Amino acid sequence: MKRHLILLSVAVALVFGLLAVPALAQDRPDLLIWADRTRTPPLTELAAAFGEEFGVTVEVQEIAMGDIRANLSVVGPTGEGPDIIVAAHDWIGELVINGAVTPIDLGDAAEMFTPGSLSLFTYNGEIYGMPYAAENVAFFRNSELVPDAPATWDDVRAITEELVDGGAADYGYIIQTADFYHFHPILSAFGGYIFGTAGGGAYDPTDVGVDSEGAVAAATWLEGMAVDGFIPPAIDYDVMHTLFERGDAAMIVTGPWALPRIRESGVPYAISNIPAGPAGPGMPLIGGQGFMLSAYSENQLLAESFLLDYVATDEAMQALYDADPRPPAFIPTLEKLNDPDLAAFQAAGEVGIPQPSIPEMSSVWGSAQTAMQLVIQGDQPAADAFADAAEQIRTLIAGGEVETVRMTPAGDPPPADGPQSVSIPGTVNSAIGCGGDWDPACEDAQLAYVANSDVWMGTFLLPAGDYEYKVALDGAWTENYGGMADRDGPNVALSVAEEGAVMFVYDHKSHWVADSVNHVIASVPGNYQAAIGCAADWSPDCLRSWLQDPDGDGVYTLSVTLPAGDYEGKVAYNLSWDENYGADGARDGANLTFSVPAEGVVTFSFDPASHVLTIAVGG
Amino acid sequence: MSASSLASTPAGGKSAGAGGSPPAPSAPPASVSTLNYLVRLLLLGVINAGVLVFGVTLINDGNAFLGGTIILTTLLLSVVLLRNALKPMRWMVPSLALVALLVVYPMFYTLYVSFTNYSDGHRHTKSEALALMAADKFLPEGAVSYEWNVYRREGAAEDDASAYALLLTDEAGGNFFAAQNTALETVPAGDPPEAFSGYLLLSGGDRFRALQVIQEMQFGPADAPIGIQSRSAAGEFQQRWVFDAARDVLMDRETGAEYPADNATGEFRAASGETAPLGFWVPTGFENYSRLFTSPVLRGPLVQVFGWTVMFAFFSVVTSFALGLGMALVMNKPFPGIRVVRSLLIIPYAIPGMISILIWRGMLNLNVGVINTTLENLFGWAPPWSVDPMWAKIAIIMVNLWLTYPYFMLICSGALQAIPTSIYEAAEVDGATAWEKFWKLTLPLLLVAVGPLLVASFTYNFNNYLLIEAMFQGGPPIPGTSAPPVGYTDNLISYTFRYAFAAGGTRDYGFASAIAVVIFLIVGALTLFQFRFTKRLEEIGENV
Repeated sequence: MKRHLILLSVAVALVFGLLAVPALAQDRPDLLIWADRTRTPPLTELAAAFGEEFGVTVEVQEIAMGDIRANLSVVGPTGEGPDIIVAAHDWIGELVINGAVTPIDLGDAAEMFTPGSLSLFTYNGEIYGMPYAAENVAFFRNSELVPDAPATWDDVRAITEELVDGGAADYGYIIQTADFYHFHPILSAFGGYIFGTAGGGAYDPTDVGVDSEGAVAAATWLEGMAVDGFIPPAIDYDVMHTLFERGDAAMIVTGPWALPRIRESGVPYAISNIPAGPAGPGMPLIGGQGFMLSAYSENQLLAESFLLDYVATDEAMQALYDADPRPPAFIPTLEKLNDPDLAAFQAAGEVGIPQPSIPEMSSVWGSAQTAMQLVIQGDQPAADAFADAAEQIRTLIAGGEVETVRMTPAGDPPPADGPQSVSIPGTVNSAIGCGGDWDPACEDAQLAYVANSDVWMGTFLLPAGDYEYKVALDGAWTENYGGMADRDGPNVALSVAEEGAVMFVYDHKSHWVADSVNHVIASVPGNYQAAIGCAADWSPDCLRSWLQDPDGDGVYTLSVTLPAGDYEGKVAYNLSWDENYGADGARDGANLTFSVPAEGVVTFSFDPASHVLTIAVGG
Repeated sequence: MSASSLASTPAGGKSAGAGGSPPAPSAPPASVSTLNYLVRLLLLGVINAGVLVFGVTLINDGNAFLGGTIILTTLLLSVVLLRNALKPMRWMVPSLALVALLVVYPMFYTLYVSFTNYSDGHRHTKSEALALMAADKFLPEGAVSYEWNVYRREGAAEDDASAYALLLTDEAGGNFFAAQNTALETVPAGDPPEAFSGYLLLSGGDRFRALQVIQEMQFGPADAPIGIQSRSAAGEFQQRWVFDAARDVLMDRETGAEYPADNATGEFRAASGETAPLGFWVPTGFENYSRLFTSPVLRGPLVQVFGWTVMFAFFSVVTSFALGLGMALVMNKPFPGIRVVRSLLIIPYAIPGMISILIWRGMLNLNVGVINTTLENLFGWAPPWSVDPMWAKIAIIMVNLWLTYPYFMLICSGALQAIPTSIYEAAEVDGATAWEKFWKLTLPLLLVAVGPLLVASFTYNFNNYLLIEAMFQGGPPIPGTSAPPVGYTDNLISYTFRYAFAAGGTRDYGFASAIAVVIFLIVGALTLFQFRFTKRLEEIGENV
């Protein structure tokens, strides 16, 4: 028994000892690099040569490409992390918000890299990595079946029809069923986009273009190919390549990473630019690999110097290229290569755009691929599938919170003598993102003061349902109103039949609160508006001329004091000219005219049922 | 009459026979015992010392939770080893320690994380975030940025850091020599000289090695020190983000803006609403849970997903158990070549699951899969596996059957051997048919032994992420759903995993942990319920 105890102790000591040794070993190399499997062998050789020449120890650790990004933030703070990582450019967004990487100062060396590759690694105006490869897809065709490169996607369809109907091949052009990356060239050729660009060319995550007109056009083209049986479902990367390499499919879009297997297959191929569409050339997404500096590194200066003085040389870049032939970003190496295939990729990439590296991009892939799959399988019409995808993406980008979009921009500073904030507490609260209901202090339920209209407004996306609300001032219940401008009055019932935007407007002069479901939000734009404090005449969005109905009798009224003169006006709904009524309640009808003989009160009365506006001058 | 009463008779008789004179405990010689005890103490001491160092290192690295768990576990271990009263525990201690580290610790850690905002942008503690931001430097207006070369005083001792100096070159090409704590000295323009007033220009390995030392050093006059910012820039750089701990405010010295720390949300937020580049993680209470219960996940086709999750787990267990049992029954009676057949049938179990799944996925591909092309050639039709919801579900259950039946075959083979043949003989005397014997004897007795394994298998399949994701990524997709996208074969774990890591474009570990905790509770409740059920089976077993 005792002997067992000792054995046990030894075993436990060994287990814990083994655990403890790596933690205690502070025998760090001067530089530690994390690289993936393909990049590790050439980098290890470079590191060994560097160490021998300069007496600085550089160690290369192999980490799976998919783990480098996540592990950096975990291991970095412990001081055991790398100084340099091999990275894909689209990790930048995530790494930067975690503070895990630090900008690199390329200095004079910047001229040695292709401008396109540098733009990939630029984020918020700073360069976060030294690129070494930049790549994009191009159009492959079986040069026996398709001797001439198609110029447009309509040509692609025509060639496909000819090949398939003529029995020359099973398939013409095929695409992976669920791969938005390979679909982007088509998307852009028809005018679609993923994210719009804001100033300076940076991607704007609030402008999702997956359901834009062009995107739907591209999806419709895809749908046409699928419905007619030219593009089959259940194609993944391997199936696509197998079909092409066997000669069963005549055209695919793929990248330089597939060159080795295509060459090996012996299929006759030619590479050309992406076909164009009605909106212009098909733009491939450009991606890149490079080296980034860890923010946790204690040796950033040495790491930077190692990259710029040793890796950014023709020999090192050539070694990296030989290990993994991707189009180099380093100009001297790129120019030396005499590979017509890579030149063809280069040419196709000239119209390419950087694959977005903003973190929001990770919300795009899943939904967009699902939409493609639904279209190709014929489960949903193209426009619906892509509209759903865009809606999903917007929801995910909004943090996955309840789909509530606050559409009112930040308001103007309210006048000092009135309330400093106005909100709509009620059962609407939780629907618009508040923690609980009936909370007058909830940030998400605040209306914004609009100085031009002298009212408080807010627009919220509400799911279908029955709600109640009131209006409360200054984030408290002290001063609150019901729907009849009645202080401490009863709750306002609000029944939303279909999910949609609901506008709330509160006028502190009359204490009336209206919503766009129970009421019409109507104003009387006219050439008198400047006289009552609006920024301009004829502005339907100036609610100083708001027609109100505090007594709930269905007649909306507005009283203004005007100087003598001849005036004109109309009724406009929802702050825009889209729905407006003129003389005799006619839609888009003629302006109503009225004269004010001497300065006095003018009262407008409006009946939404007949759309007739009555104007009473004086008294 | 039960087996246990049979067994107890001889044991009782023996103890009765020996009852008169209990053997005296043969005490070992005292010296051996003391030595033994000392060795034991020494070893334990060594272990504890090692673990303590390890644990403290972990705690210092900010991993207090893991460090604490390891230290606590070792403490318990020592107590068990030193106290004789706990002797029976000693055999279980290693596995208990591992359970504590590999199961209990991750569980509590997940629970803990689910009450924090640990996520991208909030991955660091406040002090880590501040330390990272402190590295951000800026060049004040009017200051000059120089290119630099590094020099070293000739003949200086190897570890003498004060022997380093810089030669600075401004944009106009003017050269300045900057030793430490001295004013800048103008040097004739042109390429950096090899030597300057007793200092030698460093190059090659000397330069690279010097970089590690000089990157934090300051050169030039002490009142306007020049530091190195990057390989091609040095100058009077200053720390941009300075934290005022007394006021709990982060200051941006470049713009003069102030960012008060918001310790409830883990951000440094200016009055303008702008936040500093890094946030930090803080406990946020039930925030993640309330977000989960108001999230679109629960408004999506959750009923569909949950239904399929249960169905998948149920059918996986039932089909593989049925097939495994069938095979075991067939092989319960020896036949020529049984060893070979049995070995072959176990192969699916021996191949890593991921590989089998990928092979099946390839074979079931509609366009090039061997199964589908064969079926199409023979019958002109093949099931649209990945496109049709029903066929996709069938494919997944089929593949899971392939992966798991050998397990049940092995288990059932063993359990069948344990059923006493005498009861079959008795049944035959009573005139039972083979069918009746199977349903009334074999199956109930088998379930006594296998029941808990069925429950475990159900639990495992309830959380089977690998198969679902590797086969069809949850597809085919359900049209017209709100976010996140969801497919007909998505189970609870694949659906929520995708949501936790796609929402907002960032990884939200706190939220994902909350989901994991909720799923754990669901699975726990189901398992508990099933164990109640298997208890009833045990009662059957006891009555045989």
